[in-house]
Amino acid sequence: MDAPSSTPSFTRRTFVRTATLAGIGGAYFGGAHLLLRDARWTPNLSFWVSRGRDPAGPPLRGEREADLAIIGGGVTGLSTALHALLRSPRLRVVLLEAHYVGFGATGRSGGVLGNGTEMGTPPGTEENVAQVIEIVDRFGIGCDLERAPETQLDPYRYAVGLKRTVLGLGGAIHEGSRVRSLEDGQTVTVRGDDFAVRAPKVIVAANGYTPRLGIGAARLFPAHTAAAVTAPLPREILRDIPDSILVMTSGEMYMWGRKAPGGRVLVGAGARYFYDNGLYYKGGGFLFPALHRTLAKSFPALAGRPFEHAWTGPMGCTTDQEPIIGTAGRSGNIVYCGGYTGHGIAMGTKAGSFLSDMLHGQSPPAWMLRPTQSLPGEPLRYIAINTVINMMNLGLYHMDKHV
Amino acid sequence: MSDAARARALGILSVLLFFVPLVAPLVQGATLVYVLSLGWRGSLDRTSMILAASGAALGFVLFLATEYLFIV
Repeated sequence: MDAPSSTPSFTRRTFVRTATLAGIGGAYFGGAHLLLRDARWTPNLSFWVSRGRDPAGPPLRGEREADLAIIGGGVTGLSTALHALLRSPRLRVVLLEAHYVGFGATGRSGGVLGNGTEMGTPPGTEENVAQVIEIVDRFGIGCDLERAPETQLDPYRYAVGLKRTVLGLGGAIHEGSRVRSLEDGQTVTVRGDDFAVRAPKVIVAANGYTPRLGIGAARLFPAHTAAAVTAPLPREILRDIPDSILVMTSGEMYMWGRKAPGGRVLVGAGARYFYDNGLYYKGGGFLFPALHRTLAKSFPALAGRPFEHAWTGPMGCTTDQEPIIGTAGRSGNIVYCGGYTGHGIAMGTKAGSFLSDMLHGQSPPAWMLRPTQSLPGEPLRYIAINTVINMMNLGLYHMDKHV
Repeated sequence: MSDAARARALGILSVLLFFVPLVAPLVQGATLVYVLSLGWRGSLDRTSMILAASGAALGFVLFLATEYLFIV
């Protein structure tokens, strides 16, 4: 008997068409997945590092027991080690850094210090700058600190100074020791190619590099930004440049800048997320001309002054542009922190003291423990994050200051 | 939905979604393929074809600008 004419029929033609569309979609997104993934890390080509690199300490070999293992040799990790050792001088602290101290966002930042975060001045962050100045003064860290009219420093030398201080207090810092995995448990095992560190507490202070460890991936993501510095400028040009530069490039995004040592002007701008928490972006042929155009538009005297030095690097971000502290692992003894959205030098120093306090049972400010919007996996993650960034660049999306 | 309406809708989507990475070039490419295939068969009017193809082309130019020019 024939089927009633109102019954929807799934014809061979419909099947072939649907299968073709699904195949094309699968091939497209599958191809993008293969093509866009990049395991490389952008080297640190910053102006600060170009002025001379501190010799790296020895990589870790073999097995080690510790009371506290810290992953990441940026300002957060170093500040955590410093504050932990100041509070408990006998604590066995082992800090592991994949490349060298200051390799990540710390050594690539502009070194401009400010209280609070990208979105405001939440509780506990009102004295961030004063804390950095106090550390620099107390431990005699040579980092070209300028106190007025704007507080700024050489962030790489600040990190190196923290490293020397931590070493002086008895902490162990191993550079060239990239962590590959963490084995959860009452005692966490932190493994690299040639080492294993066992510790009851682990602080992951890798900021934008954190998701690549499989930790905090739903909350943290790396966004690559760019910075560049001019050659030394004549005094008559420098005179008309403010000590601190802030130029809005859309309703939400901005170019920041400062005067840098040697009579230079240093600026930075932009954000871009790369597939699968990609850590490689050298800027291409469009980025730095676009940055220079923005600079020249605001300061016409710099139009004929090309950048002498340009670099990029990933900064850790969250969906609400505020740093977070979170826990991972069944025992909650893996603590991660990051997401400063480019405000990490002073805030990272403060976060280090919060993390150190947590070792003694003290809670950080509640806002740092807040839940955040969960980020999806790829390819939705790539699409969602870059769509929001593009909308911000185009002035189509505005994020209200919420703290 | 008629072929012409579908082609025009794809052309509009191609422009509206220009700032959505991965998705924008897919929609724009699909629009062009769709318009070309309908045009080849002679089953699309000239206005719809021009609107859809222009939408795809404009969307792609805006997509490239978003990727390479409006980045700072």
